[in-house]
Amino acid sequence: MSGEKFNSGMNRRSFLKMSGLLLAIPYLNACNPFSAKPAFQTRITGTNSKTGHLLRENKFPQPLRTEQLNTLIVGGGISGLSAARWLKRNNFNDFKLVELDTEIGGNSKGGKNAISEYPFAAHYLPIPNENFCELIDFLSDHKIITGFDDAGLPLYDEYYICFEPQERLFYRGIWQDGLPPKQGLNEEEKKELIRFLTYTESFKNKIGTDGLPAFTIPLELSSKDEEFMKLDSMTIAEYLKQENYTTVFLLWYVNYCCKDDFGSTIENTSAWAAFHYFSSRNGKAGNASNFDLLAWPEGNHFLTKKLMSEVQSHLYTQMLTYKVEKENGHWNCFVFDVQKNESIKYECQQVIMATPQFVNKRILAFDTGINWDSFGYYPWIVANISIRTKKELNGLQDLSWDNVSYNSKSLGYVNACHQTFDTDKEKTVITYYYNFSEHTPKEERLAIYTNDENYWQKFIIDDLKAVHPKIEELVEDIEVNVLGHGMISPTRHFRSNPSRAILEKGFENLYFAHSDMSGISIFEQAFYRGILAAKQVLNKTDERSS
Amino acid sequence: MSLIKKKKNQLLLLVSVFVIATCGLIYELIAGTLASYLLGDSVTQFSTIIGIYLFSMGIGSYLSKFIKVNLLSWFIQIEILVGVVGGVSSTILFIAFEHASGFHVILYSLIILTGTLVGLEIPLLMRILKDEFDFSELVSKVFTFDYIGALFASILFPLFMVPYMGLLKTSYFFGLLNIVVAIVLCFTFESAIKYLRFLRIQAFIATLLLLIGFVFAEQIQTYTESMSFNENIIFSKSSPYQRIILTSDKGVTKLYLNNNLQFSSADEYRYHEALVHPGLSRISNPKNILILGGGDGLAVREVLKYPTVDSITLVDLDSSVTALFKHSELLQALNNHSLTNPKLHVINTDAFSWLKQNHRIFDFIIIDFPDPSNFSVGKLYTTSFYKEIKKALSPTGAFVVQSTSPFVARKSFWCVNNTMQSVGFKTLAYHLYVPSFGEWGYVMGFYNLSPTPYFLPDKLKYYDESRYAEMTSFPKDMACVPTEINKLNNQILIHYFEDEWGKVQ
Repeated sequence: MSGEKFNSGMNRRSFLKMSGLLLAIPYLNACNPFSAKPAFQTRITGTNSKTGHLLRENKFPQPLRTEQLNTLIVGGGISGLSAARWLKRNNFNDFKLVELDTEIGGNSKGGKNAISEYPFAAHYLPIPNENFCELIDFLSDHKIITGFDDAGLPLYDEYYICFEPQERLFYRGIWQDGLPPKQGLNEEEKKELIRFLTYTESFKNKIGTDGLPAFTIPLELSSKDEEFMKLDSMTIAEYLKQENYTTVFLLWYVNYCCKDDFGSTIENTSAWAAFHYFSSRNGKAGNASNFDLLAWPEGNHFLTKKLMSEVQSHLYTQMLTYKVEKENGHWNCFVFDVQKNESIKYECQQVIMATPQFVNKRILAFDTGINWDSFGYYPWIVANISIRTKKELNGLQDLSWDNVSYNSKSLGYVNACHQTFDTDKEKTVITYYYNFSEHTPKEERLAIYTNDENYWQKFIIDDLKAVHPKIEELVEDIEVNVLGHGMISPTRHFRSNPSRAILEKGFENLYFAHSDMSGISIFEQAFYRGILAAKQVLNKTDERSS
Repeated sequence: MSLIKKKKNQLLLLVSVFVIATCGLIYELIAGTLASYLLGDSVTQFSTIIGIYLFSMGIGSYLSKFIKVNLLSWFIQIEILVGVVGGVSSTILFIAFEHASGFHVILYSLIILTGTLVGLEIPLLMRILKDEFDFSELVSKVFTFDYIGALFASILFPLFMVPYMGLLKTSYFFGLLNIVVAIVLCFTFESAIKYLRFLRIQAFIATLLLLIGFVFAEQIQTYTESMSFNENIIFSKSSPYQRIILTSDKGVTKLYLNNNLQFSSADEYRYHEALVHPGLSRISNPKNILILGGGDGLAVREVLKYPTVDSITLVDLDSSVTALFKHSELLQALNNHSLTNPKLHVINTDAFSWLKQNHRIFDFIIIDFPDPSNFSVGKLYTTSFYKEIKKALSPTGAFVVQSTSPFVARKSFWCVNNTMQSVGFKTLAYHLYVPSFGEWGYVMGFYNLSPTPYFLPDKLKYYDESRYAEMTSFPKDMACVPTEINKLNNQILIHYFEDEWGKVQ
């Protein structure tokens, strides 16, 4: 067809504005008592919490065999994979990685159906800071970075940089472009938002008295200058109050960001962590800005697969480590093989614990001096919802990569098929996120574990109905992933938590790699901690051989 | 009310049931059709309109109990009102669509009003006749006529009314029928009617009004000029991707996709000759040609004028468009049966996905997509897309992109040019005047282009070599401007496009 040479009548924007008046009509439809009952299935999937909960009962068969091994990596999330990859790259091959789940990847696992691949949790990677060399190398090795421009800046594969439209917000009854929205805020709200964002942005180029950047990724390389560290002694809610931020929108926005990235509300998040979120992402690229991000239909599972491809032969799934103890200068790791229903004792020179602290608490059978309770994890649900006709999700702004509703307590949903070109495909999968952080993690966890499929179906549909009244007719299938311990929450004083110092140092020939020891749960931290733990192993090995 | 006792008069009342039932359904169909034409998404429009209409009829039926006396006078009064409201409704909606921001409010108010009035009719009539038949007989007779009227209307409307009268005339015509019922009753039951004079004057004025509307329907249509295709629609279909409307008027055929004119047979040759010949004539021995978009087959028609071409691949998203232009006789005459040519291979899929997996090399690529007015079309104008073109283009080849109007959307036009350059192509921008569209532009991309043509088909209607210099020179008001580069992660072009075209509307 030839072009849209003559636009009769009205342009898209004015037409859509007009259609906005019709918002009441779909609501009438939704109330139709004759509308069909939902004709779709809801299933609960995800990490096998049953296997995990065996740890609590602690009834495992006695090991029948013993295996000698130089190094065991416990846990197959990103930090474990990253540690394994680093060992392998340094020609260190005498190691195994054991994972309790059926699949490798931790929070970066993914699924697939007839429509698309989709993530079980983590969905994206911001454009990395270009001085994070290990990460840049990894991305180059796997062609996510395709080359470097004349200025030496990385060039990313354009199909992986999140396409426009990236974000939209359902605010005051309509979908608006951007998060925060480019229109629709009043003067007061705009002024305060600009004040906050300008201030946090100004930290992107600040250097502390110790010569380190104020906030950076990896977080451990941030300045310890008191000027910045003092933010860790208050919550971001207290900080905002102290600085006279009062508009409802700004508080909502910062709270949304904290929940989205840390799983905790502003009342429970360290101000330092919140600043880190706003001020650390300063990545440069030849063909993207520091606000851009890398996204794939399967989310960070894409990165998991890349990591796995380097260490495939070392990976063992459905292997639950239930006890780690020291004996005569080596470590005994007791591992339960879920499939064979038998236990194995690994006698290891060294161990990398790439497991979260709520797991370590149950398997480290010696006095660590760690205050386990200082690590809190709020529960989440992540639901992948197959949608029959994606254009029905459009509104004043088209379906975007990230779609957030101001009035919902959920974190919104991501369009898994965003990075594709199949305009001839009517269907899509959306990944819906909800974080439970209003009460203590324990209370929230107890509450969500009692809910069944029907509960979650109603819970999700009722929430989405507010922005998509016809959602029930659009859904083909819902897959709910219940994450009892969604991610570590950086509470006040997390930077100076003495337990973190113990974890960073590790014990003799036993090291820690999980991202929760950094206090924030992002791919970059897990990737970094994995490398540090692997380096600790390699150093020790060098010492021994020299 | 002894008059009603006459058999003849009873029959008359029952015939009026038939007439008003027909009219009632016609109004509903008109509202549904108009809403689908103007708003798209016919399923939603028809469903909501039928629902609201039936509900309003319920309101009418409920309200009927409050009319206690002078039933016949009320019935005639309501007939007049239905006639006037139903008759002018489509005109109001056409005008409102262009000029009022509250179109939906007007649309649904009219439906509720018409529905309520129509809902009053049958209950009143049944009460008028209630003493003349026993109840079972009454219900049977009235509803039989009611439903026959509905069937009659539903067949008449799509087969005769819309194609031969158009929506405006249809509604005036049926409005008049309602008034005729009122007038006939006024005369037949003269002595039984109160306020007779008042009703007669009303009926007279209403008749005059509707007659004027009926006669001047064409002029009203012209007044709502951007919707003019509604008058002579010869084909309309909603495919999964777009609304396809084909109109024919005084021998001129026009294609609209989502209300946007794609071509007019009066001057499409200008557009398509300019799209194909300046580039293709400069390719030595062109053999493999790729056309992206262009499901109407008009660009194929031009390409087939080159005897060396032995394969044309056409990738168009919408199989409804390619099927229409392949099978309709009228359209075959336009594209000279190009879509059934054995050299042509048609693929109905998304052009970007197709191109990403394509390994073939082409001598000339014609890119004829809709203008970049939304994100999914905008992707087809990005650096990433032109990089895929690079992989599919022979080193001695060239490609051409229809690039909107350099006059109306100067920044958009040059943004396409600059984006093509940014991935390493040399470009040549050119433009011409197409009466249906105004000044229109194209950008050619290549590594090297012959300054003179190798072969140019004769018997072209517009293009010849003397046009080339004129087309490639840009007057000051369309000259190149700096722009950002259109990428997948900024889609800057659709923002330019919306700003620039938004201003002229």
